[in-house]
Formats: sequence, structure tokens, C-alpha cells
Amino acid sequence: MASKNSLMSWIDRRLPVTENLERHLTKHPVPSKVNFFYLFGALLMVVFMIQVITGIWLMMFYTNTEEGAFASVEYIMRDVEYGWLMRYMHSTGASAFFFLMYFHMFRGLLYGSYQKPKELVWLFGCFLLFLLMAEGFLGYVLPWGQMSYWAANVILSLFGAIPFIGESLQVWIQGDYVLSGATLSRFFALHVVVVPLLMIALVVFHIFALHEVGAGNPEGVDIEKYRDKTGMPLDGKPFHPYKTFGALPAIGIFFIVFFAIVYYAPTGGGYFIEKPNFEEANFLKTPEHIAPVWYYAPFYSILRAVTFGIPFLGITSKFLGFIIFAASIAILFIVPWLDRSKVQSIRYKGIFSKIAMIMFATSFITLGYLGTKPVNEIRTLIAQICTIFYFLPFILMPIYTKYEKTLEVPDRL
Amino acid sequence: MKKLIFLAFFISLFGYSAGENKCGELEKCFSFESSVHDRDSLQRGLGIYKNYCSSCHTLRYLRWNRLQRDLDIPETVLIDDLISNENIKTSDFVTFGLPEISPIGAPDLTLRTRVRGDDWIYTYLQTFYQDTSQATGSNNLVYPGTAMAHVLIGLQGTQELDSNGKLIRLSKGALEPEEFDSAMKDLVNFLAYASEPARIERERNGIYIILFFVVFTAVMWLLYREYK
Amino acid sequence: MQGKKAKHIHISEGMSLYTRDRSPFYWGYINIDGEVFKKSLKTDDKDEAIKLLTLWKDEILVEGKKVLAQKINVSAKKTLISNTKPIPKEKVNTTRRKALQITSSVVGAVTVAGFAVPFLSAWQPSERAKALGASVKYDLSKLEPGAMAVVEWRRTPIFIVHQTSEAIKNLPSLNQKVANPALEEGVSRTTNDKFSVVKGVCTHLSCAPKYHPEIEPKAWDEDWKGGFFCPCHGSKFDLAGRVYKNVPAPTNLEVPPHSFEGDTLIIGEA
Repeated sequence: MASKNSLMSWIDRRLPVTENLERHLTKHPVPSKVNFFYLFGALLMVVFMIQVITGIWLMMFYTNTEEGAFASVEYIMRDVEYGWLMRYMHSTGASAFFFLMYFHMFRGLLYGSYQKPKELVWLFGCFLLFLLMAEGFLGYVLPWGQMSYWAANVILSLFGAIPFIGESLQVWIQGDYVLSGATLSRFFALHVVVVPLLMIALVVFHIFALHEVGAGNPEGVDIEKYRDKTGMPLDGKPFHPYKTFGALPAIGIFFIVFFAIVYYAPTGGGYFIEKPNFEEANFLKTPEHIAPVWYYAPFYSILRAVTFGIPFLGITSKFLGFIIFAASIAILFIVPWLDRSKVQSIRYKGIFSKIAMIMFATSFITLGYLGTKPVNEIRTLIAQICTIFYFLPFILMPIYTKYEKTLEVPDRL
Repeated sequence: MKKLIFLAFFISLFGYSAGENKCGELEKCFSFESSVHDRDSLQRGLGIYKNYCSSCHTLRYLRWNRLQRDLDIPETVLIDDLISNENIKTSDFVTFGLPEISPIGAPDLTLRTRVRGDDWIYTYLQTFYQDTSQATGSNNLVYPGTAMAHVLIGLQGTQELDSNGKLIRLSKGALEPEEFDSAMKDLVNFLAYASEPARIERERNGIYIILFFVVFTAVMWLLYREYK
Repeated sequence: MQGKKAKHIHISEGMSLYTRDRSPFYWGYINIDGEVFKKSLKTDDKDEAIKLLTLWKDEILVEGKKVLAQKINVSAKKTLISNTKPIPKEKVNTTRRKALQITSSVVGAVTVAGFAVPFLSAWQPSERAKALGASVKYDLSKLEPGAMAVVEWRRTPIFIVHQTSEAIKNLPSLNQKVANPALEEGVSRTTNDKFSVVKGVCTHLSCAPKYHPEIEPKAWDEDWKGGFFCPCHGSKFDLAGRVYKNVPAPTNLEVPPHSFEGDTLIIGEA
């Protein structure tokens, strides 16, 4: 024991291991009463690790050329031992990543996890969502199936809609006049190195910022207010073991669902891996119906809902669609400055905030459903209404949060 | 109340999706879900593929020896009856030396059931009918104007469309309708296997992984409760 | 504070601050199940007062527990304890805790090991590698006596030599000249005396030895009985691939796994 302590102090003198372990694990206070919404962060870490490790292994067998990409995926699926498992874990992991991310962020919206002083935590999180969307898009191109090719075509042609620079920007991104092997190679580099590195950095920032300002709780109570003699908040418990051991059963349940999908429904009924993607990319043959993977569907729906431009400003419907599509993600970034409420949690906010949250969630899910379906008139109309309902809660937020009647927040959890 | 409104809303949404399950000329494909766990069925399916499909269609991503292992085919049967070409090794892909892009446009079948779905292939195989306006002399309800001839005519017999667009049988084939139906199920099962050989192992072992994590959850739950 | 009207600030259930007319300080009021405590907190800062009040309450609770432990009043203890959540549990079932720690550690280790299995197995040669590295067949009937064929197996040239009857006679006589005279299997170092099968890689520095079957004086050996000569560093091997003494190569040319099936040689399968 003595030697262990002297070893620890030798290390601590040079690298503050104990100090940081205490700061972030054994003495870091977390609210003693939270609900299941607060488990998604831990699960996201697990999924991120799954994606990184399976990704590295897939990279060992994948060929990033136009000629070899599709066959190399089948090589992984058939010839590499457990290659199919890596591939399905990676593809299912992508869906799980988004699923958890959406819940994690919705928790933030519900319980005001972006309010002062947590603005940076929220901002890093929004950047992570943006990077995750980019990562998913880049990764979906790699198998070089029909849907990889045509979905990428659709998204890249959006850049072409930007006035003046659009076309040359699109060619620059593609590295060719059409979507080709040149695009595939650079997307591979971005997917496996650049974006993951940025994501890791942002995850670190996200967590450090969170540990600086402290985790929230569904009541919106500031647990730092009352501390005992040791400095531990009265409504707080140390991160380890309370939070860590609390996450373990959640991880277990997550893995049950995750492996049930990996082993029994890896294509998710065509929503996780789409059917046309089992056919090699063919630039002469467009699939009958280009649908995004489910996790982009809400945003794709918004993109499609814009069927009109602003002619006298020279804005085409395609470009306006792109702007509104971009705005639907960008608006999340400024939420900390839109919310003027005195209270954090939806539990103590007024009726308007509650209606706004329901409106937002409903329109998001509806847009998601519509995004996977072919368009028709009624659907376009519903998508347009839902797009408005998606934005309204944010646009009106400064008004209703300021004037609505809030309940008194208790002092303690 | 809120939930009711949600529910009504979603039901109305799904209502608009009518007509999207269309299967060529048909309202809906015949429903069939492949299974890869009946080895006899897979072997019969392989037989049909070998006899009726393999002269035009390849299985470009499937190796002979994988097939041999998974379907439990004796070495002699594999080499003498199935490959029957001494230049082809058992580790080669099931292509019979056909070119990668078929001169008559017959697609590779390895991943076909994953692209089209089991239902579609199963229905497609059943719905050929006589049509003299076509170059091949036959047409298909699921894929009108298909370039593929009714190669299974000897097994199925001839069919014709009546004035209501329903299929009627003109002459008997070598197989009774039920036998033909079960033969097509075998074939789709085999093609589904070819599209993903790992599926056999996957569907067999998944339950153990899931059970393990049930135990994992239980133990971790107790641990969490202990420290709560 | 002086001159202002006395006020009462509610903090939480059974806990409040109040001011007194003639005191500059905040006073604390604590009510635990009907037992009332009051005292001046000796501060006029409200936040400070709230902190002190909370600390004081905890003190009372801890104190109360100690006092109660001596009292016989069971019912009072019950009510008070139910309100003393912040006090850490003193009774921990250590056996149960230990058992759970061990069980969960084992489960955790099994999980990690389980995850490792597919990732480690994926590094095994794939089916493609196995197909490329599969055994190679060679029809020996085409090979004349004295001729050598080179067959590629796992990216290695394999020399197949059909020994002449003269060579078969000569091989045992070379036992004096070679470093490891014992003939494995038979005269040809294979299970078939007529054919030698060796890897065409010099055991010195991996050059490719040249085949010189002629029995005639050579620049490197006056008394050459046929064999392999490596042009890189002058290593000499006899026709069965045995290395001569006093050459750079340390060992005989390697014999790959092989088997004979009638006229067919199978390289790669013993």
C-alpha cells in the first residue's frame, strides 16, 4: 500500500492524475435526482467508441476506389472473419448515434440545459450534431451503392444552388465534374480522419465545459447553492460511483436493443441500410425513389417542403430550400440567447413553452416520417405546415419565455 | 387527450401512403419471408438455380467452398456435378466463367433479394404469362416488359391473363402448382442465403448475445442499487 | 437592517430566515418534526445566512441522531431518521457489496473479452487470402527426368525436380560434402524418391538459387554432381536441396508441405 501511494505521489508530482480523477470522477458532484433523459450522454460515449473501433477495423479491409469500394464491402461481409458483424455494428451504430443524439438534445431543450452558464456546453453539442450529420453523410457514400451515389448527388447539387459560386464550389467539393472516384477518396479521408478528430476534440471540450459549470437536473435547481462542510453540494453525489454505476444498467439495456437490431434486423427494414444500396452505383440509372436514411429525414423533408423561391431577389426554390434547411440546424445554435425565461426546466415554465415543445417534437417526427416517403401534394402541404411549426417555437421563444407566467423553482432537489 | 390527437394525426398520415406498396401491375406482392435455416430447402434451391438460372445469371460474390461448407455439400458432388469444370477452383466465385457484365443483360443475382426484397423476387418468379407482343413470348406482372424469358415454363406450365388482368393457367407443367410454389420458395431461400451467407450464423447466435446482455443488465442493476 | 421592519423568508419546509427589529443579523428558524430551533446567524448577508442555516440544520440532524441513539423513544427516532436523508448510511452490507463488486467485474471482463473476439479474429487470413494461399496442384507426368519446374505457391517459387537415375545414385555419395547429410523422408527429401520439392529461396539471404543439373566441373566446384548454386553469395546445394559445407547458407533449402496423389503433386497440403 505504501509503495502504491509513493508511486501515485511520484506520478502526481509530474502528472496530476489523482487531482483530475477527483475533479472529474470521484469528487465531481452530480445532481442526486435525475431521470432517464440524463443517461443519453453516457450512451453516446459508448456508441462513439463502438463507431471508432468498428470504423478502424472496417478501414483495414475497405477499398476507397470507385472500382473496388462496392466489392470490398461484400468482401468484408463474406470473406473477413466477423466482417459482417463489424459492418452491421457500424451501420447500426450510426443510427443509434443519431437516435441518442436527438434524445440528448431534446432533453437539453426540455430542461434548459443551454441556459447561462451552459451556453458553451450547448454550442459544442450543436457543433457535434453538425459534425455527426457530416460524418454520417460522408460515411454513407463509402459503400458506393446506388443510394450512396444518388443521395450524395442530391446533397452535393444543393451546393450548386448557391448563387455565383455554387457550380464551381460543387465541382471543387467533388474534385470532378461529376460525383466520382475522386469524390469517394476525399470523402473517405474526411470520414475516417478529419471529422472524427474534430468530434473527439469537441467531445472533450463538451465534457470539460460541462464539468466546469456542473450537470443540470430536471428541476432546474442549482445544486451548488447548499454545500456541506466538505464542500459537496447537499443535493449532489459524487460522479463515481453514483453516475457511473447508474449508467451501467442503461448500457446493458442499450446493448440488448443494439444487438437485437444487429443480429435480427441489421437493415432496419430498409431504414438503416436502404435496399438500393445493395446494388453498385450506376450513374446511368436513378433509383425510383431517393430517400435519405431515417436520421436525415426531418431535414430532408424541410428541404423538399420549399417549393417556391423569391423570384425578385433572384433566389430559386432550390436555393431557398437549402437556406431553410441550413437554418433548421443553425437555429439550434442560438437557442441559449432566444430563451429569456427565469427558470430552466419545462416543469416550471409556462404553458406556452410546453405547447412550443410539443409543437416542435410533433413536427420533427412528422417531418421525419414524410422525409422517407415519396412526395405528393398533400404530403408537401403537411411538410410545409410542419416546417413552420418546427421554426415557430424558436422564433417566438424570446417573446413567450419572457412574458409567460412561470412557477417558483424550489430551493432543493 | 394529447396522445389521442397524436394518434389521429399519425393515422391520417399513414392513410395517404395507399398505393405505394404496388408490385408492378399487382396491388401488392405475394408475401414471403425467406429463411436460411432449412438446409434441404437451400440445397433444393441451389439445384433450381444450377439448372435454370446459372446459364445466364452469376453469383459473383459467393465462393463455391463457402457454399459447400454452409450447405453441407459433399466434395465430389460439388466438383463433379455443380462445378463440373476442372479449371474452376473450389475457392472461386460462382460465375461459371460468365463475364462480369452479361451480354444479354442478365443481372448478377448475389445481392438481388436484398435490392428487391424476398416478396418481389418470389412474386416475379410466379407471374410470367404468355404475351406474343414480347420478344421473349412472355411477359411479367411484377416487371412488365422484362427481358427475361419464362425459363421455368417447363415446371410451371403456361399462364395467360384474362380480361380482368387475372392470371389463369393454360397448361400443366412438370410440377403441380403447390410443388412449383414450394420450389420457388426454395429458390428464394437460396438466393437470400447467397445474398448474405453470414445470416445463418447471425440469426443462430444473436439470441445468446442478447441473453448475455440481459444478465449483464441484471448484475449492473443490482450493483447500481447497492450504491444508490 | 436596523429600522427596517422584521421580515420572514421561507427557505424550504421547516427552514426559514427572519430578522428581528433590533438585530442587524439574520436569524435562523428550523423545525424538525415539531422540534424548533432558533438562533442568530451572526451575518447580515442573505446568501451567507442561507448557507449557515443549511449547515446548522445538518449539524442538528447529526446531533439529533446521536442523542436519539441513546434515547429509548423508538417512534421519535423513526420519524426523525426518515427526514435525515443527507446522513450517509452507516450500515453497509459489506459481504453483499463485495459479492456484487466481484460479479460485476467478472461480467465486465467477459464483456470486454467477448468484444475482443471478433476484432482479433478479423485479423486471421480472410477467405480471399485462404483462396490465394490454397494448395496448388501440379501434373508430374509432364516433367521429364532431369528437368525442373517452378510453381508459385503463396508468392514463393517452388522448385520441382525430376531426379535422373544417376542423380538418385549420386545423392548418398554427397553425404560427406553436405552440412546436414541425413536425408529426410527419402533420397529426394520427399515421400517420392524421384521428385524433390523445395522452396526456391536461398536460406542465406533469400536470393533465388539457380538450377545446375549438369554433372561437370564448375567454376565454383571442380567435382560438381548437379544441384543449385546461388549467384548472390555462392551458396551450394545438391539436387535434393541439401546445403554444402563451408558456404554462407546455414541450412538446407526448405521443403514445403506437399503430398503425391498418383501423378499429381499437391503443394500446400501435407
